This record gives sequence, C-alpha cells and structure tokens, in this order.
Amino acid sequence: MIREISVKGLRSPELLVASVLNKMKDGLLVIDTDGEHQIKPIKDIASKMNYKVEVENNTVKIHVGKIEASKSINVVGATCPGPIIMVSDILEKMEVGELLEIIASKNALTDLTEGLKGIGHEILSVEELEDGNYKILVKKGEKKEEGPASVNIDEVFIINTTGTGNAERAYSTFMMADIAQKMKLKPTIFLMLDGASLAQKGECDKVKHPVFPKLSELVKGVLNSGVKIYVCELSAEFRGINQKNLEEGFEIAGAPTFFNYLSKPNVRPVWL
Amino acid sequence: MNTIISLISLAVLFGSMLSGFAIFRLTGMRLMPHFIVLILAFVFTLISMVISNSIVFYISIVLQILAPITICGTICNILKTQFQNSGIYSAHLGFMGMLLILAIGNFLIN
Repeated sequence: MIREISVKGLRSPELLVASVLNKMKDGLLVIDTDGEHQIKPIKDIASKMNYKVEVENNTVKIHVGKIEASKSINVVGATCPGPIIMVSDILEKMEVGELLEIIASKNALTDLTEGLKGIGHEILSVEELEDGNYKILVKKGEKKEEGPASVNIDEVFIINTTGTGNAERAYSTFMMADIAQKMKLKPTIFLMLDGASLAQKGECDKVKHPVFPKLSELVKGVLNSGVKIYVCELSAEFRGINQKNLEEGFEIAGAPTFFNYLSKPNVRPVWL
Repeated sequence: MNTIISLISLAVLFGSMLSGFAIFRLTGMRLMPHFIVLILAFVFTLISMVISNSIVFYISIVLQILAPITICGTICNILKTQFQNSGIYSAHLGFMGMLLILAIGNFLIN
C-alpha cells in the first residue's frame, strides 16, 4: 500500500508523520514537503522508528515493511534494449497506480530507472540484493501531455563517438564538461560507438598531448566534480568492455538513458 | 635486385611516414617509438643505397622489420575498440605489411 500526504506549511510535520506511521503496518509513505527544514525532522522521526528513508528533491519516502507488487519480472541477463522493452510491455497491460517489481542486473539499472521516469512512471525504491542484482519497485504512471513552454537550458549532454583514436575530441569531451560546470550548466557525458573505448580501464592513461595534461587526469577531475559518465552498453559489448575492465566511476547505460536525456527540454546535446 | 627492393622499401617507408604523420596528429602524438624507428629505417635504407656497406644494409633491414612490430600493441587495441575509425589507419597498416615482406625478401635474396 502506498500512502501519500502533504505536510506543506506545517510547523511540526513530524507529528503528523509519526501519527500516520503508527497506523501503517506495511507499505510506503510518500510525503510532499516544503524543503530541507521539514525533511530533517521527518527523517529523524523515521530513523527513530527504524524505517528506511529516501529523499528525492522535496519528497520523502518512508518504507514501512514490505510492499506487495501486483506483478514482477526478472530481466537479469538481458542486454540493452531488452530490459526496458520487456518492462514496458508488462506496464502497458497494467492499470495506472499498480506496482511492478523488477529484478535487474547492474547494467540495466540506470536504463530502467532513468527510462521509466522519462516515460512517466514513478520509481518507488531501488534495493541491492545479496546476489548483486537490484530490486526496483515501479508505480505505473501516465505520461503528462505538456504544451509548448519556454525552458531554460541548464544541462548539456556531451556525446563522444570517437574514443581515444581521436585525441582532440577525447580531450574536448572532458574539457567541455569542466567548462559547462563553471558556467553553471550541469554536464552529463555519454560514450557510444568508438567513444566507449574511453571507458576501458587504463585507456585514458595512454593519451597525453604535449600541451595538455594526461587525459586520465582530466577524467578524474570531471568525475570528482560529480559529473555522470555513461557508456553505451551495446557499444561496450561490441568492444569487449564489461564491469570487469570498466574504468572506475563510469556507468554502463543504454538507449533508454540516452533518449531520456535527449528528450528533456532543458538539455542541449553536444556531439563529438 | 637488392637495390630495386631497397628502392621499393624506401618508397614504402616514405609513404608510411606521410600516412603515419596523419595518425600521429590524430591520436594526440602517440606512437612515438614507432615513428622514431620508421624515420631511422628511412635514413638507413637511403644510406645503404648510396654507400655499399653490409652493416648499414643489415641495420636498415632490422629497422624495417622493427617498424611494423612497434605498432602491433597499439594498433591491435585500436582495431579492437575503435574499429569505426579503422579506415583512417588502413593505408598505414597496408604500408607496414608491405614493408615487412620487402625487408624479409631483401634479407633472403642478399
């Protein structure tokens, strides 16, 4: 069961939350808040009651026991775009508001969470299982029809398709991400086709132009500043790159993540 | 016969230097040992054609064999992970294959 409440405007939201939690035996409590000053006391009270808390923007999710999903699917072993297609097919047949439990491997995790959010579904929880796979709980939603509106471009999606074979483009990828951050634009890097070669362990260490620092140093700097670097799963597989020889900090993702970024109105793609 | 083969090798080496320079720029000045060996092979092949000295001749043969070998590790990795751009390297790879056979042939005929 999922209960949704709003504590907006309340001075002591924790009192209401505690009262609701006391009545709940299982399920998920989703709380809409005004911001950090309300989130902190809510987190404190939930922690005192030994419940798991997740915060996403101004929404707090408190897990109270197990949530029963209407359906479940296991997509472990399927490669991009298999998982998102399999999950979409099931969600298509479900009613809005129904819950679906997905068991997926790490490779498909980003694709499913990002891709499903983009389609309009809600990711309620992501839990790592003992065998290294993940359990994702999704609530079926509806795609909102949005009319034309003016949007500020505040994110750049840098796509590299050439890899270390073209050193100038490889350097540009990470330098542009650095510059974007300085200009208050949130950069995300996506490596596909030959660009996936940048994700192979030690590959960026081999690139050093006399005038510039080692490429690997630029990569480290960008990763340390919180930039996400995704690697196309299909391109990685074509080149024998997997979790074992993947450079630290890089994440394998696929077509759903790629299209989710490209479909965001506030994101400008940069092809390299 | 050796002079003719050496002349063909010299032509292949000069072509390799030009095609290799394009790759050298593209890959961000990587493959330095390969290009040093390539230039040395060109110089020694040219000298071996001008002066009749067996030591210079054998050094040129060794350098002609070393040039394709020094590119192996990098080019294998590039062909494995960056095959979309492999066309860029094909001219240079072709020259390296020819150079190896010419060098072995020149050595055996001598």
